[in-house]
Amino acid sequence: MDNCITRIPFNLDPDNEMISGQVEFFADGLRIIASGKEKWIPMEGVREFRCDVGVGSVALEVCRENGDHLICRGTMDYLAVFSAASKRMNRFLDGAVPTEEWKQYKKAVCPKCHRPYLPDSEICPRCTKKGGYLRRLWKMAKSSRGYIYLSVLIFIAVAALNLVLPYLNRVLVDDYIKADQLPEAGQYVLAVLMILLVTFAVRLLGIARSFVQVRAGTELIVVLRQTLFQKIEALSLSKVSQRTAGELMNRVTQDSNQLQDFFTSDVGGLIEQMLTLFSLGVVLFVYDWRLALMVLLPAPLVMLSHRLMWRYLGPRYRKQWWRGNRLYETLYDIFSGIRVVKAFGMEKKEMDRYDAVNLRETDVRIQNETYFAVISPITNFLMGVGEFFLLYYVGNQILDGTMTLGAMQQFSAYVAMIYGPLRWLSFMPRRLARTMTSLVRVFDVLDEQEDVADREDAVDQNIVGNIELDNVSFGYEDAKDVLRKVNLQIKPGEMIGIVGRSGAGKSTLINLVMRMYDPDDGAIRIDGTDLRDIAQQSLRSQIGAVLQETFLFAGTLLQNICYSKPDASYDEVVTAAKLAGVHSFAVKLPDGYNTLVGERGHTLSGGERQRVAIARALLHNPKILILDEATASLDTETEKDIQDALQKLIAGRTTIAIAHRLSTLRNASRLVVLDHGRVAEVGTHEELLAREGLYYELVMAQRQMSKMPGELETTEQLA
Amino acid sequence: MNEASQEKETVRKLSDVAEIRYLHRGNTEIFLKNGFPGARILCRQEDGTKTVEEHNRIWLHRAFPFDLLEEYISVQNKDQEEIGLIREMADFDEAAQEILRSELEHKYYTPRITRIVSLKEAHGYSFWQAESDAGELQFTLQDTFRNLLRVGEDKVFVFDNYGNRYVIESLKALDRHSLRRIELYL
Repeated sequence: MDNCITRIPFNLDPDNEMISGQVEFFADGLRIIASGKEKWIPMEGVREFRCDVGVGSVALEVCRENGDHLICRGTMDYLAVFSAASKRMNRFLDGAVPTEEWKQYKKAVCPKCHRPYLPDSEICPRCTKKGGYLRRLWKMAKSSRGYIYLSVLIFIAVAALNLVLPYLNRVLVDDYIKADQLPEAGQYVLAVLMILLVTFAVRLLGIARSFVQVRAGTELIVVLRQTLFQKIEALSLSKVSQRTAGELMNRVTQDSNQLQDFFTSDVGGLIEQMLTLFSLGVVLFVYDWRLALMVLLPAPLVMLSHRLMWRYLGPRYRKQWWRGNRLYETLYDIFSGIRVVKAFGMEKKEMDRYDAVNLRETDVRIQNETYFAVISPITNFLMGVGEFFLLYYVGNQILDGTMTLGAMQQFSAYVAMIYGPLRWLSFMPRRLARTMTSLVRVFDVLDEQEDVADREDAVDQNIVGNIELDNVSFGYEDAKDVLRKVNLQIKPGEMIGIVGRSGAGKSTLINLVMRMYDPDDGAIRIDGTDLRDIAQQSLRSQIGAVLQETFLFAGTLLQNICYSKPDASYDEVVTAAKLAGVHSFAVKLPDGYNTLVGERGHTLSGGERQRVAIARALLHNPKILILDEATASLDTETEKDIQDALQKLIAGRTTIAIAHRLSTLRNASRLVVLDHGRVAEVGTHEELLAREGLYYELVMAQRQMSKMPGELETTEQLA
Repeated sequence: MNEASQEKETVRKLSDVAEIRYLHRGNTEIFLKNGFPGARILCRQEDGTKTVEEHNRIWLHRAFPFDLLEEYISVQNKDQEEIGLIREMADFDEAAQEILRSELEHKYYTPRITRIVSLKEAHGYSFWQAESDAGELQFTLQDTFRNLLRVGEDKVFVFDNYGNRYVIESLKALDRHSLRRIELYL
């Protein structure tokens, strides 16, 4: 039975009905089981498996010589499952041996609540264990634990002192002010001084508390940010590029901030409020249980009404926030497009658009303010109801003479104090929810598997420059394999040009050689050693890359050139700069090599940036050089200059270059033509032209493009 | 008058320049092969001869997926290059319409929500439970506001965190209970 290669579920039938079915893939065919029926599709003549991604559904199909056949369909939750299956089966068709791992697929739904997981994860936003995360955060807070314990101690002290204060007040009133005989002046002053002292101590502890809190929180956030940052840097490019830069920034800054807030103020606050609540409760009950009951009875009601109020108002405020956001976006949109608005004379229309959004925002704002104005006095009143009962009861007792005025004062103070924590606690679920969101997101990153991790026995290796791609297949997270069974041998010092239409897999091939990703199948070897056995640090220190997107970090020209070799001497820098053609423009700048470039600095032209990138690579002195469209964004004349600079760089190094403009690759020792992820042709420029295949087509197409209008007739005559 | 006719001329020229190939029963035959739609298109060459272009399989793509469900359908090949454009369904006979419609409904699988049973929000996600013409649905939205698209006054598209689509054909037709739940996000 278990000669099954892989097995997947699906949930849509050909009539768009929701069903639950299963497909089993065998070496000789597929068995489709759905609604009690079985269907067998033989493997004979199958050329390819395809995952056809629709807009609201996804289909798995087989392609045969005589046309396509449907295997199964599913809603978009099944995309990951289907694409994994099609990739595995295609690899199987290419001769790969199925592994145990192939039999498994990522589950799409949480087994507990049957809701879909977050895409590409096995995190259920509903059922994630919260306690576990808190415990892990606590473990991480190792260095700040001392401060956290200290702050708890201070909280206890503050809570205790807060209880003493009303008692002292009572003593003052009953024993001295309302006493039958005049008190001694000394004792009276002493009582007042005690009150002063306690108040002072509370304030002092308050200062100490904030100090300790800040320390505890800062230590924690530093650790958290460090861990997050290290983790993100360690992740492979594929994992990182699944998320936007903004999102990652958010996790490192916002989410860790949220957690810091929680630890510094909320945890402490929680302890303080609970302590106050508990000790007040005890004191009240010991003093007079009937009184205590009277005070506490409305408490659940108060908490409930508070929660209800926020459950009702919360979403409404969020709506208001959202509409405010829209208002801002609209404004930003109109202002940034003001030239277009004026060019088409659309001022009136834009004004109307803005008015409409504005009105919508105002509507919900007025509504919310009204709700709040009505609701909040009611809840406040409810909160005070207990005090009215108390007043009546205590008043009676005073009239009876069973209670003193001071005692009443003490009691009212306690009552006033007890509602504070209650109100605070009713907000706790909201805060906890927000913290949990951040916590889940932070640990989501921390729990990510490092898929391109160094092996423990990874070696440092001196690279000569032999590169071998052996049956390499690779696909990103989505449906298709980008590279399929690529075989390529590159000798040291050779310059290989990679050619092909966009989407043919050129950049992917380069990314694999740099080990931004690991191949799904097959191996890449440098000087006979598998890439996965070479320490990444060692590998990258010997590979230099000039990419189309040259990124200059905020800093000086010098710092940017030195990026690849921070300890370079001025001599080396100037040499590299001269070779790359940076020197000529650097010495014209008022601040020379110390000119600030990057986001806020001096703006360099595209060509100048490109030269800096080349200088960077030159200084790096790599064994293997990678040029990914290094000159694509430049005009022809600048390109020629840069080409000359590049030529100096290439000499004697193994080079892999990608270029759309085929003339850029005229110096290549061999050209590799990629087509739909496979190597279609390999050879020199002349050989490939003579073959009149794909390369010939590409060359001809480019010649047509670059022809000047005047030239047309002459070349046509020639043809 | 002269000006008007001149203007007409420029307008006509614009559509000529665009060179859109509209497909209709006069030049196209739609057929079903292995359960997938295919097309045979009659082409008139410049020299007047007629040739037949045969596509074993075609892919359909709505040009205006939220506004026009059965008009302006782009007909594409495997590489997503446009073969031609269908302006409206009525340009084809019943049998062809049947094939096209079924293909569109497969690709754009969009259950129609008839009732919202519950809608809860937590941790930045909203959890939906709804009844639809495809039965009971459970799905999750990340960032609720951004994933609801109101088309016109009455129609709402819902996009869940996997890229599934659902539609509420008419807000007015919803029961009060359901309307109150979704209203907050519109």
